[in-house]
Amino acid sequence: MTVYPGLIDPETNFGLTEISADQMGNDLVERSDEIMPHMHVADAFHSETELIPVARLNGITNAVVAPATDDSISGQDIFIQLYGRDRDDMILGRDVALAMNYGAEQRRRGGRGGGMGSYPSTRMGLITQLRQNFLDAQDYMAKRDAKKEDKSFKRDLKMDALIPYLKGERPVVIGVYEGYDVETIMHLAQEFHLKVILNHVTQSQEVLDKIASYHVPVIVGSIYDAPRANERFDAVYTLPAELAKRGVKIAISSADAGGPVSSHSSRNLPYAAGFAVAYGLPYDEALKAITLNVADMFGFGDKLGSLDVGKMANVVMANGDPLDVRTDVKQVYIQGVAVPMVSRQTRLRDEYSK
Amino acid sequence: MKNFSLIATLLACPGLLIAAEPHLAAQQPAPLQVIAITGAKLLTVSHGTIENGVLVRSWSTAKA
Repeated sequence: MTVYPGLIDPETNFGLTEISADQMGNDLVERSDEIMPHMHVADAFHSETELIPVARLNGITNAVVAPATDDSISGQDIFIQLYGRDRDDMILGRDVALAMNYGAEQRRRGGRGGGMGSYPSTRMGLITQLRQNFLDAQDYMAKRDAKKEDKSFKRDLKMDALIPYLKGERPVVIGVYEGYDVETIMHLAQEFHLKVILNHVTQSQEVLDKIASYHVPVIVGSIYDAPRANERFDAVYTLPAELAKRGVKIAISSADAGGPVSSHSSRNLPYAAGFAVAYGLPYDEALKAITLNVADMFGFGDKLGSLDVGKMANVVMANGDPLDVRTDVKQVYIQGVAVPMVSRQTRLRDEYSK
Repeated sequence: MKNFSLIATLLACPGLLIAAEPHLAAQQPAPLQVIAITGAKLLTVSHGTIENGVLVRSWSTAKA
């Protein structure tokens, strides 16, 4: 029997969507503005989603839930336990990070919602809009501090939400793919002293040394993405190994190739790490990338991510190597509780195999 | 030479483990309850891999 700490997925949409084609069940992102730091995932998290037990059965015990990536700032993430009495019990941390995105997807070019494109429709516009909002938040913070006793001071939820991140109290997870976009957004992050976690960096092979020089952690995913036409076939597959070789602390997410983050693939998290091992990432680093490194990045390193004295008993028992697809998870414990090893999938299997 | 073939890792948290699994040995000294998983390959992440290790979880039964 192999025993290991519960796996942690650094980016999911758990509880924000069930079936993406069914708009009634989607709370993925607020699309009315591009800058939405005052959207709290905790307010939308639906803990009874069928997707959580499916992932849990494969040893995923914790996850970061983030809004979808349409906005430059799409809201604040939660850190969850994949089992509990109710939603409040499952949310270990509210507003643990600010979800930011920078690149082609966030431009308002008219295609997404139809009609004419609007500001910001270029990368210039995106950065200008972000800079203006952070400057406004700095001014607001100064005014708010000066008027602490003034009850008539009008609070601004959007500006309030940015302050912990301007103070560097919590991390900002920046989803970015292209190398030149990484450089641009890091200039902005350094200007405002943001505590950055880079996310994706899928097409950034030409700036890996520069990424290492930033001394920020990186979430890699999807590592199954196709390379550019002029790149080797394994340019993306080797990304975790190349970053780790340069001393970058990495996490691996379960994101699917070529598409947005999907909670349906969270159960496959250990196999993404196994794939990275096949392309040069040392085994121990791969295991850390889906356990301790994720816990550290989001402020739970003292509670989760390893089998250590005093940590929460989030433990997985399996009949082999957790990164091997042939391994079966036999029992998952979350906070010491043996969780029921059933999901919608096992129920359907049992029903139709009678 | 240190022998890491047997190690006890304490995991303190509220909740219960199922003791009916054949590989689980249970003992309950008051006021602490202890459950151990024995003979397992432990991938600790922070301290490497421990072959034939023991994972011990304890929690207090005392009412607050």
